[in-house]
Amino acid sequence: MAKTTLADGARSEASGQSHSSRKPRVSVIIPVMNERRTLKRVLQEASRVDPDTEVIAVVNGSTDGSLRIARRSGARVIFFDKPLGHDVGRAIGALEARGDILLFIDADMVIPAKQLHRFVADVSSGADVALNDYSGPVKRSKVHRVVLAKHAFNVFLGRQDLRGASLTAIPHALSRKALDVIGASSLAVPPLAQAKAIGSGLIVRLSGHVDVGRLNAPRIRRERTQSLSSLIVGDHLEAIHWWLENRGPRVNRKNINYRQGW
Amino acid sequence: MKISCYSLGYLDGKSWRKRHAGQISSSTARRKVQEKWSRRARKLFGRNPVWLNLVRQGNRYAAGFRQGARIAFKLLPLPLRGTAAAVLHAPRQTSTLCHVLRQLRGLPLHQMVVVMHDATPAFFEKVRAQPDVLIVYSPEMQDPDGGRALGAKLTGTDTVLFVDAERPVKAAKLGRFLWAADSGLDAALNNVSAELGRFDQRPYDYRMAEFLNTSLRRTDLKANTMNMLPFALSRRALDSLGIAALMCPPKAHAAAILSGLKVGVGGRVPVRKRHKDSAAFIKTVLDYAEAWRHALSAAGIRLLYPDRYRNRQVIEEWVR
Repeated sequence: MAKTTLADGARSEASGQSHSSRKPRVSVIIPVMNERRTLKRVLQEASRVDPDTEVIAVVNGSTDGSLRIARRSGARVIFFDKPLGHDVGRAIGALEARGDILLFIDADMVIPAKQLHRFVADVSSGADVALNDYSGPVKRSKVHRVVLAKHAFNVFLGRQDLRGASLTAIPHALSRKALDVIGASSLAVPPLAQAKAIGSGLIVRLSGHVDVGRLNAPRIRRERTQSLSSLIVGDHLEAIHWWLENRGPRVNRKNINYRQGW
Repeated sequence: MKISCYSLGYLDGKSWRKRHAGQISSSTARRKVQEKWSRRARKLFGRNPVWLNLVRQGNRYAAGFRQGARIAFKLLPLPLRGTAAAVLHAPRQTSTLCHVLRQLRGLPLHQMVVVMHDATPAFFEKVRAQPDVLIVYSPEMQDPDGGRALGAKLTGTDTVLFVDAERPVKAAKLGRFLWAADSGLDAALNNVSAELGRFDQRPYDYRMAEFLNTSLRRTDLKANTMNMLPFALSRRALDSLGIAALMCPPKAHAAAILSGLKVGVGGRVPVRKRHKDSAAFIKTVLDYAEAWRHALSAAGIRLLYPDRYRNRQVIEEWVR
């Protein structure tokens, strides 16, 4: 796929608050694909997360005028004419981000700036990864396979305290250090990023609770279509594979400190 | 049915007694009942018998036989095609072991193998006094899975039933696993689904169990794996997996599914409420890790869940 950027020769357009090359404190990264309905409000809330914020919109495969909305908002816009696929926009946005703290949200879900701020605050007070304390609907006997994957994965990593919290869900925030350690490209496969973060001894913590299930029921329904939930299950397996290749003991089971991320 | 199963048993018992006058014993009677009932039940109930009916009528047949032959024995006869054995690992001195053995003696088993690693002489004697039990004393075999693997190695039957030595379960409930494995399943698992309750209140290991099954596209198995007792394996499964595989039951479970063995639920026995200390929990996690290691290396790092949508290439290009 050809990489298309609007600004002539440049990869991204910068405007508004990010004209200077000065590093902002917070970068808010928002992948956008045909999200005209909610985008303006999402960008607005994003810009209010911190007084020193850059907003990065990674517009991909959009045909509904989302691009125009993003450009007008004064956010930095990175544009791709074709869809990048789930989560890839986050990795691209992270590569472009200059902030010390990176906050990831989606363009189809309006979350008030005040709620988003909690994630930024947790990173600024020491966390490397601040996860949404949202575990999905679990007060039932049968749960959806995506919910199951997230819970089982955390148990597998020795972090059952995280319950069903996952980098697959937004919002979440990363420290600059976390990004350097796990690498921006891992963000395209969120459970992989989570495995790398925990495996590298980063401080991974539950942060604010944003009920993304209630906020965006249609989206949750969409996630439960066969293809997307298969993708997410596969992501968890890919992450387990990474863990086993890089962390898991092959022979000696005795010297494992499971709690420390075996 | 023109003639009741009780009457059938009675007549069979009577004629058996007449023919073998003077040389009958409980154990020969048991063998005869099992043999006769296997043939009769297959004729009476056809290809797809209802389990509860098999138990009820089998019990009646045995009761009739006891009367007819005028001899006491304990047996729930099951229409099995092949031979069967049970394997137990006795973790420590436990009075439940004898209760468990007593229930097992009610089943048409050719062998009972008990692997012991730690027993007082008195307890050892008590178990040894049980008839038809093969005791393997192996002080270094503290791991229950290893113990059961060792026990299974000593069996030569067509079906092997793996039983929890700390939990007595009625013979009829256990027999169902044997019957399921004898009539087509290679691995007949314990169906624990009904009693798991709310997802968020379950012990953590069930999450991995259920996700392992999901990974292998066997969501129908829910959280049932070979990591839960009891279960029965066919000789085909034992041969194809290898006895050593049993030392890590989740891995054996994954291997069984991946190699196309028939894995399904055999019966339903309530799971023992156990308190898992952290060492036991870690072992469980590591066992499931081995299951995934096996599956991911045998069938690809995403198994049957490919990523067809992401343009990962674009990230590489962007960095350059």
